[in-house]
Amino acid sequence: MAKKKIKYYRYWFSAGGALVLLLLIGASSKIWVYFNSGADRSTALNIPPVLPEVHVPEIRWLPDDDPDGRKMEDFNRQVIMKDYIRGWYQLHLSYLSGKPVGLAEYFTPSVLPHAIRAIYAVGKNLQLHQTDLQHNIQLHFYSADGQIVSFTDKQLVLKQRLYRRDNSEKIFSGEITADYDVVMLLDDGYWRIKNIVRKESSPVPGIDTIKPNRQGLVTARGNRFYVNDSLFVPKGINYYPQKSPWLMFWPNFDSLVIKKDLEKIRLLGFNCTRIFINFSDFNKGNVPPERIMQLQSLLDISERLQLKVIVTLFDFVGDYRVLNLTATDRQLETLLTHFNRHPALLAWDLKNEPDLDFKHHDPEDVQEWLGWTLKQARIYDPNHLFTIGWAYPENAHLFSERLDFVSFHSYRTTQQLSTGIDGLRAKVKNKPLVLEEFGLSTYHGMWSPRGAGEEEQADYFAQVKKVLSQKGNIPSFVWTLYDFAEVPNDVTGRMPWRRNPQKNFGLITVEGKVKKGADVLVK
Amino acid sequence: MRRVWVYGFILLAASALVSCRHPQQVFVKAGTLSFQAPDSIPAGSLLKVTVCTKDFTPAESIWIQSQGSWGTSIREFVTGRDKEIRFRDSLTGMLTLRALYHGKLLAEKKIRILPVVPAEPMDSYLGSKSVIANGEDWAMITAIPTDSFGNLIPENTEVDFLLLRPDKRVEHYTMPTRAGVVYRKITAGTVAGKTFVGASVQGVNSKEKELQEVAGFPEPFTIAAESKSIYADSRQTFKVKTSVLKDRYNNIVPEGTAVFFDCRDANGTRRQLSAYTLRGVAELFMQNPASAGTMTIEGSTFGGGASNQLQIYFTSAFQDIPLVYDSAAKRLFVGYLRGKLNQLVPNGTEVQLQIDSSLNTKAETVGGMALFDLSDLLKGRHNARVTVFDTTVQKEIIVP
Repeated sequence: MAKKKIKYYRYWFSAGGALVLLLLIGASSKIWVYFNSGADRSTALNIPPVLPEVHVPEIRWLPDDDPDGRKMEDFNRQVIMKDYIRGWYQLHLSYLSGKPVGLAEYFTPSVLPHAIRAIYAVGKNLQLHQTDLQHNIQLHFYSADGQIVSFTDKQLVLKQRLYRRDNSEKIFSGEITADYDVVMLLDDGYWRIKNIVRKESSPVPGIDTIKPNRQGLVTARGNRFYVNDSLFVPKGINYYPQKSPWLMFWPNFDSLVIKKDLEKIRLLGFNCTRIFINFSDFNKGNVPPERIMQLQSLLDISERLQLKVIVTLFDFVGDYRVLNLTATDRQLETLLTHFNRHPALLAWDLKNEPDLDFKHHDPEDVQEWLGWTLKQARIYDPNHLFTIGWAYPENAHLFSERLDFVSFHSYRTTQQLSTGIDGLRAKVKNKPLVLEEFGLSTYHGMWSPRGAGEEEQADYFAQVKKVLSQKGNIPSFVWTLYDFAEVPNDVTGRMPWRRNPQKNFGLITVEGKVKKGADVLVK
Repeated sequence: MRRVWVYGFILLAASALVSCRHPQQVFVKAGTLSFQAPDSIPAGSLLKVTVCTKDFTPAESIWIQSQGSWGTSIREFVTGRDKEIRFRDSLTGMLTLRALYHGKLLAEKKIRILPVVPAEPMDSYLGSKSVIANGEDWAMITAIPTDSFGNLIPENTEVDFLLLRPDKRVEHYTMPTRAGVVYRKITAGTVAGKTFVGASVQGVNSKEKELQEVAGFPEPFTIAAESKSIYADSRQTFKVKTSVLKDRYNNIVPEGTAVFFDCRDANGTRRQLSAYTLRGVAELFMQNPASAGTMTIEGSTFGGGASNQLQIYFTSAFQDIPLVYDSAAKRLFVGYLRGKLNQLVPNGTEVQLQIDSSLNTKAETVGGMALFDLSDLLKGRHNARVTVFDTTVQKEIIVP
């Protein structure tokens, strides 16, 4: 009996010892990391803890008043606006955090108390999310010594969402527009707001709008696509280069690789591709010229090979807060105004699978963002088609009235696909439907021993083709051209049972062998 | 059994927590609401807004948002309990009141908060701080009149600017405010001095501002030499003085205006010297040249006029350079060196000796005489060249 007791305690001691050892290792590693890492940027620079995406609202300069004083220099115009917009941004951040943050740099000492009081006036248990979307600046006065400026910010649009802090309940979401008379002083290197007076909004002189010109571009009529009045049936494939898929695509862009791949796609018998613009890789609101050149190169190669391209925007955007609106709007404006006449462009896909975000974000916020983005996109590019790549046909009717064609994805059984299409067609009667993503992984290994092989993939493609044919020759884009040796963790997560199948959806293996399914698709 | 209850409770609590993160949208039937308030009130006065509700159940929370010039404020209005909301907003501009109820905008009311009377001191700014009194250059006085709460006063309020010019004239201008500011260009006169500027609106004054109106670039001027000795002794000094430097409107140039003097000696030596004006006149003390002949001096200023060319003739400082060689002591005596008035040259005057183009040595005078020890000189005939300032004499020395 005594021996048994000793054994029993041995187990407890060894388990306890192991636990203490683990805790010690954990604690010492924390200390090690603490002393071997730099200061937290937000603490070191005293910046707000939650710093949203770049704040780049639209700024239009209206004609200046007759310059009785000094003529405004272009450089100072930019400097003044930088500080003015930054002042608004600090206000938004202050509302977000519930306390004044960095306002002293953007308001003169005489008016700083007003700004601070306004932050506290929202109430402790409420949180105001706010951003300024659009500014129309009319300069009235610029002093001879270049230290005082007076202007009116016409039709300043503030987008606001009001939440309860305790339970995140959204109380209200809306926009409010007004004119603001602003006086700013140059002091200590900063242009600071000295006075601001809100007024009834007044009309803004006509802004040059882009006139539609759809000549030579793909159009949608009824349930079909046309190019110059000839029927166009998209037969497409989703594309990433084999060695640089997803987040690696644009930083490792190689136009020679792209050219070879697109030639391969053409040889396989496809006439369309679908590509993705990563929001962060395109530097959020400030798109660098080299990224535009890369996209231009891809579209130019596609044009030479007579391939049409669906460009999917805002990939991996998962922030639908109002403070992110300006960055997405600037990226949208930069890309769409640049490519609004490119003949290789079939359509802009505003967002890949936004309905997946319904789970983690307020669906209202997601849809509000989509609605706003679509409205802006039509302004920047009145020529090309627009769609949204919904993950499920059940959600694809959303915005169908405002889109040119309706896209959805399906990785379900062909029976479910058929039912999904029927349901969608019942809601969307007179718009083309496009199956923008479908596919079957040919992975079978440790993490999926009963996974499909190439034969099953070919069978699946044949069945999908049959369903699409039965439902009125719905165009489709298969996922994807290549099998990938590596898939970034950001796409599927770290779990091997998710990552490994994702590597093997392609029509061409890692070794370069064309799978059987490719023949089925292009027959 | 008890455990089942505990687990059940935990599950229920967890599901409740999860549901709290994403609250379901509450669909409610809103009643009607309207605001009763004046269209405008003066800043700082109490604003009473009567909120009329209809068909609301009691104790419903309605959020009242007021969007003003400086931001947003939110307050809660509870039906059945509250009848009105009160504001005391001291900041002008359009105030938009909105009633928000479960995501819906029930009512909106716009109220203008008006500025009250202007308050002292009025902010005024003058830039640039100085201008050239040439009748063309200009500066600007800008005022930003505000009321006692710091609000911009209404558009087109007339502001008076009073200017006391350097020529004692008083100028008066009345300008209207526009986009919060009022300004007046001040064009320079042709008389240098200070312009004092004051602004006032409805009896409220600004601080005094000063504008310096300074003379422009100097016109051509003259230079003259004073207290000069005519000997090229490289020792005495003389004064070069300019006439009073003035711009084209006869204003004396500002103190400290730099005048550059370009001086050329008779032997080609060139010196560039400068002096600064005091009450319009620049003075410069110059050392007499070492070489006899004519010295030329010209004055100039940056961006402006130049002077006449001043020429001064300097005669040689010595009558003669006597040389005596004492062959017994093997010493060479130079002197007595005398000036034009037979005075002995000052002690320390440098005397150079060169013998046969090989030996070079120097000595200084004491009592008008310099002495060279030539004991190392070899036997024979030697040519000695003695130079004092720019005068040179030669003598043959025979060492026995």
